Amino acid sequence: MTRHELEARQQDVLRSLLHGELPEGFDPRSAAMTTRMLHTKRRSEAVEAVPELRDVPELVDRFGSWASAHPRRGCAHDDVVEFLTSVQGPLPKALASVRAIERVYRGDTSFARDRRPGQRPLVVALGGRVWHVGHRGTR
Amino acid sequence: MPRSPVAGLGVGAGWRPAIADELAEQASDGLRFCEVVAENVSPTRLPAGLVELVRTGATVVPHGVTLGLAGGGLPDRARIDHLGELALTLGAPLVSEHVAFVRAGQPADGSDPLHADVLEAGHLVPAARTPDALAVLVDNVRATQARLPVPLALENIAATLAWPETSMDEPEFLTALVDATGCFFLLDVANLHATCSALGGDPREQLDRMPLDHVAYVHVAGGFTDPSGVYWDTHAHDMTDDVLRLLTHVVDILGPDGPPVLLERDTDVDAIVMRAELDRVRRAVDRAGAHA
Repeated sequence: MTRHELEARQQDVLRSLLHGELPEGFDPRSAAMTTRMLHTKRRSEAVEAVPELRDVPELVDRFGSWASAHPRRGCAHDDVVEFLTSVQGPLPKALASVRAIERVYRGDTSFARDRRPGQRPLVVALGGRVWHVGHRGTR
Repeated sequence: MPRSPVAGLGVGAGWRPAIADELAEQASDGLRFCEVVAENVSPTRLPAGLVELVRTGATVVPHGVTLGLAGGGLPDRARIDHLGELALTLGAPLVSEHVAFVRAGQPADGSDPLHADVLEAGHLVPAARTPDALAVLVDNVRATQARLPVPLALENIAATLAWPETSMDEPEFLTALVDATGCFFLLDVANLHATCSALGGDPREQLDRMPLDHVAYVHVAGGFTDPSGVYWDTHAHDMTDDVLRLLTHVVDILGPDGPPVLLERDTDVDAIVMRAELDRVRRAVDRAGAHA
């Protein structure tokens, strides 16, 4: 097996494991443990970047499902934003604001409330830009 | 038998910002050995706590986690140079990395990283242990050694993945690697325990066939055993008695003034936890003499 063939083999197997699939010929238990380990590591780094993630209901399952469908493209902060933007269902208030604001920046919606303390309360897409308006509150 | 460049330094700890003050205090009280994750620091902007440790005379070894030497690709020169520059800045007598791959895929032709098809594992993944994979690993290690200003030690990882094409076990593979490259061996006893727990095997039997005459230093860390009996090497829990007993056994073999033992604790850690866990490591090391 040449260096190039080894790299291709590793890429195929890694892609399957990251997607939570069983690479052909592998022991299912061993592959499942490895997928769990890879997702746990990725989730730990995300939680380290944004500790409020700890309060997300059913984080382990929701993050694992998301990670299976979304290969890593950037740093742990990118993972957090991508996860929050993609995930459906309830989030803690501060993270729900991050999700809503990111959707405005992506053009999915034109308006969001920022409920985090110390932030301007309204986020509005207008004239090709995103504006954070209103008085900074403490709520 | 090459003597470890850090032999006789006793019990040390991985440097982390959360425990920098505690390690500084321990350094003034005799702690002489630390390690820093290379990717977390820059040689031109070292954290003040790390500089202070070196000033007090502690040896600080740069420990890389992203080189991916067991990958099919050639190791990235910038990552090797980063390790080397850190070693020179810290005055470290060696650097360390892992026998693992961390990404896979083809870099883009030319210099366009946006069109690269590279998958990042985000963690250390074991490669298949075959003669072909060993040949690529040996090439990668030699290329790395040629660029480094200090010797390289390579660590056994905690593996949960068994490749169907594997034809060598870990002791055979690591021994062949050390024989071919002359690299040092960073023996992680918690990883050995974890791998045997997940994939089968007797850690003590495997130890007998590991390249123990090339050990530079020893890692130990905390983790937990899940209900199915699999041990997870988390670096976020206290050490288990199983791992500490294995550590005592290793020090029995290597000798009390041989390779030092370094505790890795990454998260859920503060000064009190670190002090207590370092005491447990020291007691496990001291018990080795009593067993002899």
